[in-house]
Amino acid sequence: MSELPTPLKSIVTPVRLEYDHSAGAAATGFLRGLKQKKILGARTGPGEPVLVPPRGADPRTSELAAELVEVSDKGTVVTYSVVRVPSENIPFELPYVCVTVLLDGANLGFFHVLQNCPLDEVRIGMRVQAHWLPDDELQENLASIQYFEPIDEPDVPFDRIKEYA
Amino acid sequence: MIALLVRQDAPPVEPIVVESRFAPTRDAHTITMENDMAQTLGADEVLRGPHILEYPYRRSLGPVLGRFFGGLQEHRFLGIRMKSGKVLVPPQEYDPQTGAALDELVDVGPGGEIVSWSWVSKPRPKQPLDHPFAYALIRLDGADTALLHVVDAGEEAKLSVGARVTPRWAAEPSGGILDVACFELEDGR
Amino acid sequence: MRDVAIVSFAQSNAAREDRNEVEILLPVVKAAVADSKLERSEIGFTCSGSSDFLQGQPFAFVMALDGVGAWPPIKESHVEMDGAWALYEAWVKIQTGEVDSALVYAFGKTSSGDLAEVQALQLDPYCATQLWPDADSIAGIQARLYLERSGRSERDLAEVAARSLRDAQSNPHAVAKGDFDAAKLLAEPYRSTPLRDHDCPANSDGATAMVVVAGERAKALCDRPVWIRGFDHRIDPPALGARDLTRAPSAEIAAGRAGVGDAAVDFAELSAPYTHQELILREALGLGDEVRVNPSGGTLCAHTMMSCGLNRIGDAARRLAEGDGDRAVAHASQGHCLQQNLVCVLEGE
Repeated sequence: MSELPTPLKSIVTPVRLEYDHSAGAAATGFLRGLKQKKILGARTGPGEPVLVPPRGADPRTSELAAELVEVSDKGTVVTYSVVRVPSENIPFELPYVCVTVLLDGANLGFFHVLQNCPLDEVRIGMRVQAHWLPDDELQENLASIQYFEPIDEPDVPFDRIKEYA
Repeated sequence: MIALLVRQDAPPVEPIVVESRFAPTRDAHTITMENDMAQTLGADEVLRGPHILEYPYRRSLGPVLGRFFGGLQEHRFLGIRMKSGKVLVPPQEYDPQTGAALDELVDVGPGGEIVSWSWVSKPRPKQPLDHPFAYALIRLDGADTALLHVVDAGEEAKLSVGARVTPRWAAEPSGGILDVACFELEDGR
Repeated sequence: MRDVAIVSFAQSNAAREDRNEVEILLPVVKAAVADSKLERSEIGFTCSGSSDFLQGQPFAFVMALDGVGAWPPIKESHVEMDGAWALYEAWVKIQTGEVDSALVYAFGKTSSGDLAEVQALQLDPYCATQLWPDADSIAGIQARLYLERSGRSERDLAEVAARSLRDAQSNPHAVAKGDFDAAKLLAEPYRSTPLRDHDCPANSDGATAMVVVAGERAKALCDRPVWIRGFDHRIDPPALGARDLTRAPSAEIAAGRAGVGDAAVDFAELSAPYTHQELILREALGLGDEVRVNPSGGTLCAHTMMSCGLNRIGDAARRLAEGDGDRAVAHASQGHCLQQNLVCVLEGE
């Protein structure tokens, strides 16, 4: 029996799958809104909580949330995280700040990135606004909002937003 | 309270139809698009778009498969002997019937015979050959189980159960099962 | 052993859906819960089956909970399997006495990607996946071996297809259906030898939901509860070249453990995506020629991956509930070439 072959330590076995993804009715409404420079949420009915982005159903009750409602592109930071770990495809310089923004009119925090704010000035309760792509570059995707940035409005006391943090 | 700026409902936007990259699947039969649950969300045209999922996996091999794939680069096939005396190809670390740990690697092949096949008349982009070929189970000489691979026979009529095949080794091996580019019929039969 | 009954069942299948998975699931879950006559809050356990790889997103099943209602927090679990295995987990949970009822659901959109390619991920990642064999080719390899071993012919496979398509005409949830002559089907070109288009499953998108309840309570909730009398699942080794592909040993064992042969079987719903696999399963489950197979048309006529197995159980239960038989066998499978099999024996009240 001859000598065994020299062993290989590892092999590369790439997987690449292509999908034709359907956004579904709820996300379609939201994405179309972005192209119109609007942020749309959805609610199950008048007076009910507005969920941004729309999910099709209210997750607490599984009732259909089909009513699209425009919310403001201004809001309050309810929580944030400073990111120092590099990753592919991130267009921001490290460190950068991820924020959950309670947009005016919404009942659910909206996840995005904060720019143009020194790290030591990022705080819960600060007021921010979306920075959009130029009008002629708006698309049906989240890249239409490049980031959020601080605006000159008084902070919101934590008591009023702690439910959403 | 936060000022709730609930504006009136968004004005209707122009429906935009995004062309799908894929044609609807198939098919020779009468298909009735049965959908008894009414579409309740009422969007006019739902947006579609390509979504790519890609993983550049690098898998560590361990002592058994390490030798198997090392063997391919030396133009050798290895099997592993089970307690019953039978030879398992491709080799596995544990006997699939008894669970016993295995370590007796043995040379098999390089030639073998076709156990079964299926003809691919329209190869998909990722598949190993870009002209019609067969996927086949091939029992290499000295092995008791069959290896799944590809036979470049030219035309299906040349294939038969028991037909002898030999490996065509990849010109530039990069590590993996495709270090065997494919199998071909012996004597070009 | 606690007696567990299926009290409601709802499904949705379509050749291709524009709705996303949550939107497809929502009305189906609502229908099953409403038909069970239980309040959503009364249902003790929720279990689902789906595959992230069908949607192309890790943890994709978490989003489906939007369609189920998970507040206040619910006891919930998920399997990366056909919903039939979610039903099995729910049944086990009920056996432990922890809960008395369960909502089981499953969903899948096979149209999003190239299903044949996605299924290659079920193979050995070192030695097989990188060859990217499509599911039809692998099934063809098995079919050739089966025809050789059994003496059956391509005509026998066409008969399975013709019968299934004909029966599917009375099933509003089947996606492929019609009156086809076996001889005419045989004149069609091959897809993956020796299989033709009609031997391969009609892929579809959809969702399924079912409510099960333990004990006497079931009798109060529906006219004819359908009792699960036997339930088992087994798996064979994955290496295609290392097992006898012409047989399904795991199906045979599961059928024995589930007690299929204990009494007469009026009909069977077998989740065989390919025609030759129905014949392999008949043999493995010991079903004689007199047993009617797949009166719904079966998985061949609606291959909603991840819920087609649960659909076989549901279709069988519905038929028993309507009085069309007293005892039935339902079956689900996963993996290439019937690698993994689940058998469920059902009896009407």
